[in-house]
Amino acid sequence: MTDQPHSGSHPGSHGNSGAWQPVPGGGDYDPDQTMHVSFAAQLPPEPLPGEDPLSAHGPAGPPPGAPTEADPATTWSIPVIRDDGDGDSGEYSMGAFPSSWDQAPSPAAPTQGFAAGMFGQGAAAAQAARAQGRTAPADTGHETGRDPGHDAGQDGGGDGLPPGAGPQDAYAGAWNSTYGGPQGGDAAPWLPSSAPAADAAWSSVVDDPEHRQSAGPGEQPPRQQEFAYDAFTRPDGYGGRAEDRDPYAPDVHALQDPHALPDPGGLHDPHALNDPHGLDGDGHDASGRDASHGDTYDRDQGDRDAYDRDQGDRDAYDRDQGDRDAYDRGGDGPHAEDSREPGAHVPDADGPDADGPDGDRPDPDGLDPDGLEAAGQEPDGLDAGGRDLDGRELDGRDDPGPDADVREPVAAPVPETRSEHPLASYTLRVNGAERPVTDAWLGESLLYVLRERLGLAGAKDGCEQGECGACSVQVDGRLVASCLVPAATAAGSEVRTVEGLSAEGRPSDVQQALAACGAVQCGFCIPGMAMTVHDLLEGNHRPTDLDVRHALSGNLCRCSGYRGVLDAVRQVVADRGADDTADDPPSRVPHQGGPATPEADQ
Amino acid sequence: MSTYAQQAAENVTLPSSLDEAVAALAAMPSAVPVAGGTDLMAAVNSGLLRPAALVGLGRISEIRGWQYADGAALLGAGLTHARMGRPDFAALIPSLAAAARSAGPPQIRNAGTLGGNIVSAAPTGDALPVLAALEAGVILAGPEGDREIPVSHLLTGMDPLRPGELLAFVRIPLLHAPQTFLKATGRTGPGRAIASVALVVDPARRQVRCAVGAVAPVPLRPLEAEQWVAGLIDWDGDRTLADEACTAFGEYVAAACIPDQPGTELPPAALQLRRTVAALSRRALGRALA
Repeated sequence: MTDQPHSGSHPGSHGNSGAWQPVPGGGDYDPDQTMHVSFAAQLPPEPLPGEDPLSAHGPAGPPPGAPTEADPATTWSIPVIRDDGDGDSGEYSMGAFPSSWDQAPSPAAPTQGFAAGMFGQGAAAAQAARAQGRTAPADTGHETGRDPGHDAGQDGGGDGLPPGAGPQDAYAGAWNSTYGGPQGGDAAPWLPSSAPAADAAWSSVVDDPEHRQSAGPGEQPPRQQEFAYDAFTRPDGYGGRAEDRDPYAPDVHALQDPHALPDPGGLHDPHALNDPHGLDGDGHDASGRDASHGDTYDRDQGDRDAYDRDQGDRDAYDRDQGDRDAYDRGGDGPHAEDSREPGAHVPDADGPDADGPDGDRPDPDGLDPDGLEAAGQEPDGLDAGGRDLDGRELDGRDDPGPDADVREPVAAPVPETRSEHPLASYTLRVNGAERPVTDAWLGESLLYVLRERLGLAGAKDGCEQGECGACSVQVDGRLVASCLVPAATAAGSEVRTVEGLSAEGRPSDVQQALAACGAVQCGFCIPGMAMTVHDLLEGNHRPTDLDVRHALSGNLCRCSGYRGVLDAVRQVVADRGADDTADDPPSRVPHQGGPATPEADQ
Repeated sequence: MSTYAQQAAENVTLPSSLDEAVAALAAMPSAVPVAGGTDLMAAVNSGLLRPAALVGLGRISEIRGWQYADGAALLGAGLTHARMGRPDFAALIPSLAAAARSAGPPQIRNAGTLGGNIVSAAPTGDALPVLAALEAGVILAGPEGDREIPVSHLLTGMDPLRPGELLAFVRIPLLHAPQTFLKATGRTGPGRAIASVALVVDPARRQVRCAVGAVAPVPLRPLEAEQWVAGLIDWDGDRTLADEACTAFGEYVAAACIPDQPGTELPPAALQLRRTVAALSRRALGRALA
């Protein structure tokens, strides 16, 4: 439920080229429909020197009927529209645009959400991109060389769309001609880079795959306008930051795949992401299924390749798990040396990769010991016993002697200094206990580390985009969405999860009240809710219902309707108030900004 | 803790001062600076970004607050939205506080920072129209020293971040001027903006400055509409406007930000967006003058 493009999952994901088109499917109302209008024409192609680059040139004069002189004598009334006094909520709910936040945009209209969500980190990535210098054009090949095992399949598959091929050049030309101005002299350097390729690829996600397949490079220009907008929508595509696309360059293949982003079994599947073992299977599910689609197969290879690279760290984790498995079972599994070899793959990790092009779907639960372990591990999310056991096991493995292992150069398995999956070792302080984490990919979120490495499965993995709030934890006393916290940067911070709320095995008063008030139905959102309510009550001892609703606005619940949660908060407030009759006024030192106060709100 | 931090120094650095951060970034230029991580991790989680290294900016206390300099507020880039939403900050820059409050749920506002909002430059970034309307400047700390550029130059990519540069501070002139921020979202809660309008009525310079966010990749300034409406306001009097003027201003702004496309009729969604922008800017002007 994000703005991320889920294009392929929509029935109308074909034939939407060019500018805005009516709602695909012909219905009057499509909840997924969002804006798709080219605003490209509105910006001056070349900002005049000294002019505000943000200026929007409108019509020549004011609209008809407007007064032309100052006329203070005319009476007028203050437009009274705002009685909610609510700084948090949307100012006006425009019903015709229901989909900007919670719903995936239609494939015909990926632009705003796409830019917002996917490339939002623009300039942050810019630094990485620029630092990698002009290696961008060579990037894909570079990757190929790095990962021969995986890419052999891709090359053998005969990628019909080599990353540097004509279509992208056509796009690049289109882009350049449309937006030559703002980029100025910067245009040339990034042209050969894979930056336009990503855009072309994105356009292809929007586009009809057959069309793309059949069209030669010269036939692409009909989509110029659309591409132009797509390119332009990305802030980092604007000007010198075009190179920012470089970090995504390895994903060009993935983007080219119409199934890559929306793949229900792939990255967007929280289960799959959560489960390092399952990911392999799901990734292969994707490629295996798509293999039957002939023409999309090549790009699916790229997709799978991206998956494979993506999960390099998880492969490592898999191998570690395998080692641990072997260790636990008496050492009849692959040896530790295997997992320390950067290029080598333990057979059970490699096998599915080799199988992928055949369209086989390896059963992640059946084929390999990792799968078995996954099957054993995954459903026990709520099982405290299993969780603890798992955590201990991991700890025991990672930390045979306190500190000794951590201080050893455990980063040794990093094959080279510029690894695709740079690892980091750090220690987290979770619920008052030091929990070392070794050899974790530094892109792992705190949520992933908590759940998969530390066995604390209380924080739930709902969306991985910070929309659902099921992963809420406190970091240094501030409620955050743990899926959006890089775990490596939380090292040394005090992390408090829902497991830390209970004392001596008894659930906290909030948890008891949630259970007693019927706030729990399926229960998936409740750990996050409990964290949020705790956080709220730490800063505001007597929250009003509006305060509670504000605080809970980031916790999506699809079952209970929040009524029970409000009741639970009231009950907790009443109980706590009865406990300490100190009657202190609500202190305003919240870690979260606290509810919006209407009087301070303009 | 420091031992672990040092051990991870290869890939993850958690500097505690701006100079250290700049040095760390210069030492490893491929590192991605990360403050709140809300945009970065969304991309990482969806497989779009694999950072080669991270420079965590969360411990740089000097950019997590603000200071005053020459009639301007020097806001640290690490100010979280939650911090900006508090009443003391709202007394300083009300429109930025309003934008920060509406930026998202508490989980996001506690993590997301002002600097990240600027640097990631998402079209829906709520602080961006406010900064554009306030004509803020950004101070970039780099290996060659600091430099200050208008935020619009950074947002449009006219003057992008150079390698090893960090957004350190945002300079916002402190105006004794009414300012408003209004935002339309798709849900009855904090959400991404469909359209947002920030408006400042600056009596000192006899200007109305307006910026419309989320309808284009960058916030837009309808300069002609601003000048037109500024000419209508009786600056020496009670600074009121006829409501027809407010309405006309809204339509003017909307037409400037969502222009007619010659030869084609605007699609209904664009017309609706235009109405949204018109309503937002009309109300923003009315409230600023009220």
